[in-house]
This record gives sequence, structure tokens and C-alpha cells, in this order.
Amino acid sequence: MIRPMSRLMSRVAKGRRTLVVWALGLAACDPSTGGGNASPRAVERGGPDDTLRTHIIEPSTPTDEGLVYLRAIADVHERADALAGEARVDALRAGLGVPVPAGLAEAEILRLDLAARLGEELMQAPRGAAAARELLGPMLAVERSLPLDRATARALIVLGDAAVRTGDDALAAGSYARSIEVMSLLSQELRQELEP
Amino acid sequence: MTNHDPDLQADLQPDLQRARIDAELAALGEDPADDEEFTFVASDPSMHDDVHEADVRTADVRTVATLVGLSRWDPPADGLSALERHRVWRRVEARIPALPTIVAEPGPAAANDAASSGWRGVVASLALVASVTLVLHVPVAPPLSPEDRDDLRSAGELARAQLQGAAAPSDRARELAQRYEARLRAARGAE
Repeated sequence: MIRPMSRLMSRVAKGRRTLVVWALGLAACDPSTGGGNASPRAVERGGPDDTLRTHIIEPSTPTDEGLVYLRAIADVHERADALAGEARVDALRAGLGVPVPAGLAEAEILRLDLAARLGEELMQAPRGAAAARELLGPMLAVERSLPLDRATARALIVLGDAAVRTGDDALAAGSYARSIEVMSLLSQELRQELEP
Repeated sequence: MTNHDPDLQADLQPDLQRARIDAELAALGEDPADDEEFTFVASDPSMHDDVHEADVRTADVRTVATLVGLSRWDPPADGLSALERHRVWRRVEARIPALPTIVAEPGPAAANDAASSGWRGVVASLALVASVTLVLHVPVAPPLSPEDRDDLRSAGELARAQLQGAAAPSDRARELAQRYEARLRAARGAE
């Protein structure tokens, strides 16, 4: 089940994001714009867009098909660990091609982890950074709502690294800022759960 | 000045020639020619070359006739378009090819063409400036200063540091599968 991020979390996130982007010194985040979005003027100028929409992944009702998928992805990782180079890239790419059973919310996290790992592997090759951007860019687009999970933070870091290597500093700054925000939100969420 | 009979030209003596010139000048209300002026006129070969003088006279007559014709030409009430004016002047030019210097005088059409050409140049220049301005207004991120680049690097390191200690994707996938299996068994046991 997917649960949207709470309003309180959004407010906390907005403050953190503003701080991060300000610290980057790349975009003037206008507090009056609200809504958790980067300053439109900064984005218009080609500055970083740190817009983040998240949802929480709740455990889905377990099924046999779901278990088969989860095991298959775990096997893909295991196989990839034993491979290197092009073979590892092929194995991870094949993992992304495994069909996702309907209703398996956890698959979104697993696919992001797979994509992040594949992106890291792609960047080992010459001109692989562009390929990594092509892979991760659409999955992590600012228009999309992303799972509030470490997998999202990891994938955003890989996208940021790929952006740095391809000379897109704005995308890099925006991706790093969004990654930091995801981890901050997770931390807040954990604290809330631990509170009596 | 040369409107006397060419057949008699050869027979004219200098004194007679001077007397005639003086008479012509007197008729025009001008002072008689002095010696220097007369010497200049007498030394002009056109005064003595019948063939050349005939050519010059013919050209003069055609020039005057063309100018008179042009001066009497009534333009249409609505005026002519730039293209029509251009055509008129082309026609005039074709009729008097021997007098290119007269036709080449910048008439209204030529002036208008030149003016419109000038305006076209101005408009083209403005368009060029506008397009350059538009191109310059395309949002382009300025290059990062060394400080900004350091900040960007720090942001990347901070993001990575926050992930430190988190399970690797392979471990995470295995862990998720195991938990999922346990939940599935628990759900089946409860049934």
C-alpha cells in the first residue's frame, strides 16, 4: 500500500531542503513559493530543481507470485555479485526486465535498488555516465512520486554522480539535495515511530 | 552656342566668328567674350569637327527632348508602386541608351528603392539583434565557481554519508524476500 507523506514531514522537509540548496549556493530557494518546490526562478535560470514528491511503501498482501519475484531479484543480485564488467551489467539489466506481479508495492523499492546498482556499473565504462542518466533520469523525474526509502536516496546519488560527470551541475545539485531530503524524511519517520 | 549653320563653319574667319559669338552673348544679355574665353572656344575641337559636333548636337537635342518629355509626364493620381516606378524608369532607360548618365540620375523610384533597401537593412539588423537577444535569454546555468563546485562535492559526500551503514542492494533484496516469505507463511497458517 502506498501512503502519501504527512504534511508535517513535508514542512520539515521543506526547511531542510531550503537549507541544503542554500548551502549549495547554486539556487536561491524562495521561501514564499511554498509547496516544497524549488524556486521557479532558479529553475528557469537553469538552476537545480529539488522538487521531491514521496510516498511510503506499505507491505503488500503476500502472494506466491510476489515471493517468486522477490526471490528472482535476490538471485539477480547474487548472480551479479559473482560477475564483473559487461556480464554484471547484463545480469542487472535482465533483473529490471523481470515482470512485476500486480499489487506488489515492494517491487518499486527493488527496482530502484537494481537501477542504482546498474547505474553504478554503467559508470565504470567509458561514456557510461550518460547511459546511467538515461536509465535513472526518467525513473527519478521530479514530476514523479518516489518511494520514501533508502533505495530512492541511493538511486538519486548515482544520478547526481552521473550528472556531475556529464557536466549537468544543476541536475547533480538537485539530485543530491533530494537524496539528502529522502534520508532526512526517513530519519524523521523513524523518530516518530519510536516516540511513545 | 553652336546653333549656327555647320555648312558655313569652315568659312568663318576668326573675326567673324568672334563677332557672331559676341552677338549671341549680347542677345542673351551677357558680356562679350574676352580674349581668353574666345581662345578657349576657338581651341575647342568640337567647334571645328563637323562629325563630332553633329554627334554632340544630336545628344544634346535628345537629352533636352527627354528631359522635356519627363517634365511633362503626368503621374497617375494614385501614384505608382515601387515596382511600377521601377518599370517606368527601366523603359526610359531602354529608350535612351546613349544617355546613361541622365537615366542614372536618382529619380523618385531609385530614391524610394534606396530608401526601402535601407529600411530593409535596418529591419534585418533589428531582427538580428532581437534574435541574438532571444538566444542570450535562453535559460542557461552559469558555470560554477570553484566555491560552488566545492559545495556540490560536499553535497554529494553528505548524501553518501547518510547512506553509510545501509544494507547493500543484494542484502536488502534477500532480506525483503525472507521477510515476505515469513509473512506469506504466517498468512497461510492463519487461514
